[in-house]
Amino acid sequence: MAQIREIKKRIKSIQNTQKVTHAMELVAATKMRRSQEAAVAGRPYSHTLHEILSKVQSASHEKRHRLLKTNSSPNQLIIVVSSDRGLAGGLNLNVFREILKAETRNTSFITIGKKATQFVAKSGLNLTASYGSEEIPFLQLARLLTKMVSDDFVAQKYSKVSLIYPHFQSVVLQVPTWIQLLPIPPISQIEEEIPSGDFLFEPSADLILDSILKHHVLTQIYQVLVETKASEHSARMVAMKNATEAAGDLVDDLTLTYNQARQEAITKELLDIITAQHAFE
Amino acid sequence: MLHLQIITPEKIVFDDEVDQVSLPTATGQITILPHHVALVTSVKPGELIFKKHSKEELLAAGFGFAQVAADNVKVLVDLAAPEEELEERKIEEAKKAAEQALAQKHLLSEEEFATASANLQKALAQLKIKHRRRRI
Repeated sequence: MAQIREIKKRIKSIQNTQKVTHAMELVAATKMRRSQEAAVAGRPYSHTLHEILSKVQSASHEKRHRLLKTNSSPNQLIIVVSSDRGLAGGLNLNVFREILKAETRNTSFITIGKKATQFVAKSGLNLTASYGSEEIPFLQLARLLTKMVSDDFVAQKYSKVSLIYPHFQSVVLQVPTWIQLLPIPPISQIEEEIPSGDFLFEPSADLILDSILKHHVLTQIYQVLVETKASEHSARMVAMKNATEAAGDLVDDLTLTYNQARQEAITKELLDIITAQHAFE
Repeated sequence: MLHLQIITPEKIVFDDEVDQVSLPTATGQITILPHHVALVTSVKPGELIFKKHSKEELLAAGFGFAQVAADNVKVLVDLAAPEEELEERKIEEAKKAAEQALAQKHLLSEEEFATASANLQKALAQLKIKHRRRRI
């Protein structure tokens, strides 16, 4: 009897957990749709910016812009982008594993999201600044980061600034991806009908290049922040879907055991009655 | 006909054929007609006006860039609000907040100052469009 009650209790508690994970799955699914739309909607902008940038760069005489040229500082800076909350499968862990694989001597870190902050602090790495991923609007956060890293880079504090984040490949696949922010890697030229030499630049190619390069860094960071959100929600949705399914399997198993135990108890009771009756006859 | 695309980081605001378009650029307001020479320029806050079948439409533009090539114009801006979307109260608030921030200039870092003055310029551009529409 005691065993039966025990099993019943476990089934109840697993069913409660299942309800919670199912609710989280639904919430993550809605949030994912929204952030996915935002991530996709930002693409025409960055694509066109890239197009203009490639034109401006080939026309500009200033080949050694301060954001393009390398310097000899021994230090480098890594920006780690993660989620604020857990329960998202291996999303953050995969990113952190990549960092542990990378060269981290003379490296400072800027973290976005609580999980990354905790990871960097725990691993005893050099943490320079950290931001929550939900406290500041993305565009503002991107602006802040751009300002911070480009100032430090121009002041030759770092020779390289890179960024790692979970890239949104598909709903079930988020790949940790490195982006080199500074020095800005050579921009791939886009072939078009009109050669860039035929373009007129107002006020001048050099002036536009300066502001467009800064903007390029900003757009990259912004796009990364938006994509990380999409990755987070889809990873959480998948993780919660798996959890709900696993809970369902457990409940099925336990129900079977419960029925067996119940049947056993009934058989035993019947046996008792029958043997008692036989004894009387 | 000109193919005009207005793109912000959030979405494509406008994507259609127009007859002409005026842009607020760093060197002043310029108007682009079909067969304009290829051009890349930077956009500053102001009024973006385009005409289609002699019907004029106004947008408040923010900071950004524009590329003109072979009858297509691509405008990248961080703000592009059509007249219907502008809410005067909100804009006034933004303007006031920006002005207040600028008044305490000595307390601000260079970056905060730049952001506040950019916000003020954008708010002013939007207000201008709002007021102008009322006169007509």
